[in-house]
Amino acid sequence: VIDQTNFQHGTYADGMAFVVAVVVAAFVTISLLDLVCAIKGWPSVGYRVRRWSRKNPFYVVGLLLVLMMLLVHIVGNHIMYSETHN
Amino acid sequence: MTPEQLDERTRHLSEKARGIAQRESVRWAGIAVYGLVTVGLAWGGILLILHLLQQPRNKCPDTSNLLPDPAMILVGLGAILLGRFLGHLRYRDSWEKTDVGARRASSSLGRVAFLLFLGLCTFALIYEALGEQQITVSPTPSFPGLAPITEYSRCAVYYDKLGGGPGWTVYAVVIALCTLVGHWLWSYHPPRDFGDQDGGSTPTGQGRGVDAATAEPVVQPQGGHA
Repeated sequence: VIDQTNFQHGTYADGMAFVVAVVVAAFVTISLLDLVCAIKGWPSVGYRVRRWSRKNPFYVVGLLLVLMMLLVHIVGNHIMYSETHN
Repeated sequence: MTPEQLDERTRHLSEKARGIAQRESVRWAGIAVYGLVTVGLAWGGILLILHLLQQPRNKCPDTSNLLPDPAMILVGLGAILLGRFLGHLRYRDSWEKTDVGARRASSSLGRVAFLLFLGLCTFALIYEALGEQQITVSPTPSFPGLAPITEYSRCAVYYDKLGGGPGWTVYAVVIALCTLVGHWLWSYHPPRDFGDQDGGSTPTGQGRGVDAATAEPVVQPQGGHA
C-alpha cells in the first residue's frame, strides 16, 4: 500500500518534470538519429522499426499489449488508486 | 556525333542536372524543417520542465471523478488504428542510399536508438522502484519524498481537466503516442527489403523504384503510396 501522504504533500512538479524529461529525451534522441539518416540519405529509424515489427509479429503483439495495459493503468484508474480502493 | 546530336545530348544532360539539383534542394528543405522540429521539440521540453519546476508543490487530491476516463482508452485504440493506416497519406520506402555501407550504418544507428531506448526504460524503472518506496534523502515538508510515475501521470491528467475541459493536452499526447506506435509497430505497408541489414547480401532490387541492375534506388516524393 502506497503511503499517499508524501504525494499529497507535493512532489508532483518535480516528478512530472522528470517524466517530461525522460519522454522528451527519448523523442529528441530518435529525432536526432533520424536527422542523421536524412542528411546521409540512409533508411530511417522508422523504417528499421517497421522492418523489425514485420519480422517479429509475436514481439509486436506483446509490446502492443504492454503499451495498452500502461495506457489503461494510467487513465483507467482513480488518481489516488490505493487511497480510493484500500 | 553531329552538332544536332551534341546539342540534344547537352540539353538532356542539363535537364537531368537541373532535376537532380531540384530534388536536392527539396530534400535539404525537408531536412531543414525536420531539424527545426527537432530543435523545437527539445526547446519546448526544456521550457515545460522549467515551468514545472517553478510550480508550487501542490498536492493532487482525488476529490472528483476526473479519472478513470474510458474515452481516452478508446481514443488511444483509435489512434493505433490511425497509425496503422497512416501510410495511405504518408509513406516512404525509398532512400538516396541503400548500398551495403549505408545499410550497415543505418542498422547501427537503429541499434543505438534501441540501446538508448532500453537505457531510458531502465532508468525510468529504477526511478519507479524508488518512487514506490517513497525514497528521499532528507524528508522535508516541501519535498517529502518521491511517488510512482503513474501517480504523477494521473495527476497531470487531473490538472489538465481541472479547468472543466476534457483534457485536450492529454488527448493530444495519447493520440500522438498511439499513432506513432501503430505506425511503427503495426504498419499497413510492408517495408521494402533492401537485403540483409548488415550488408551480408546484395540488394535484391526487386522493390519498386529500384534499378535492379545498379541497385540504385529512384527517389520517390513523399506524400504518396510507395
